[in-house]
Amino acid sequence: MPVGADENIVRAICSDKWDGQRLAPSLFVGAGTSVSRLALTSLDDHWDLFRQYVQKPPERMLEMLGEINVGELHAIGLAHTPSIELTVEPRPEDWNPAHAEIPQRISRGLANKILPALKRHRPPQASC
Amino acid sequence: MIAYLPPPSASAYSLIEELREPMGLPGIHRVAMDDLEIEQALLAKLGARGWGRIHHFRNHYNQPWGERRGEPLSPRALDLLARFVTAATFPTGSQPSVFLTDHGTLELCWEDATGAARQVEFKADGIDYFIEATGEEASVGSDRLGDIVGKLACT
Repeated sequence: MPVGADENIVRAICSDKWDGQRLAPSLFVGAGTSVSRLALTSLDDHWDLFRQYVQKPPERMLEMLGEINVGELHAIGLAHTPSIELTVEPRPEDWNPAHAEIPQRISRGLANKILPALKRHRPPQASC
Repeated sequence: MIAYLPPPSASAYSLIEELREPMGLPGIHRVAMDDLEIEQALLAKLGARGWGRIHHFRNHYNQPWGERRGEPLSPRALDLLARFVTAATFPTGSQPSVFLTDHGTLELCWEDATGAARQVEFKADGIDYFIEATGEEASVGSDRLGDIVGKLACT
């Protein structure tokens, strides 16, 4: 059963997809885009989880988390030409029970419309 | 009194045979300058950031990487990108961004003079491109590299 339109999801953005100036469209191009559900794991916990599992090799740094609402993602897909019904399907994994996927094949043109809609979260500052 | 030494004879300093200029010897060739020229073009057109990222991807992403076991950088994709950048002209003051995809291909992203996105993805077996201003998005074979330069990066 697809994730509800009221949920928000995040996409890990590592240094291979962010150069300090632009976001890589390939974050969303293609089928089976990997995302994670904030309803199951908090934003702070996502930072800890992703730091542990996505920073491989160690030179690959987790730079940001990109957040978008599932309903908004759906609306962007429908507004695109040709329109496409984007869904988010739960795909829990051992390392991340909140893991989910966007199964549809996303074109480069559509990815370019999703990227500006992302709310970008920077790494939380370490407390003293 | 000033003493003058006699000029050295032509044979005073001569290289041993192994160190002599190999130009005239059959079967020995000078090292091609192509690699150096390509490096210079990458640095000039992508800047230190883009040039450094390519080296970063080449040196640190040569094994499956990330939580989804991304593919190592494709040498063919890198070759295509280098040839594209060498031939391309980008808008003044704009340096493209370079990204490594999960499939080991390379993305090059920049904006045209109006600020609209232009993007090329270099794969082992071809090229994908996107022109935001027209909405054109297509895949072509790597033999069409020259056409893609003319279409996207010949300002």
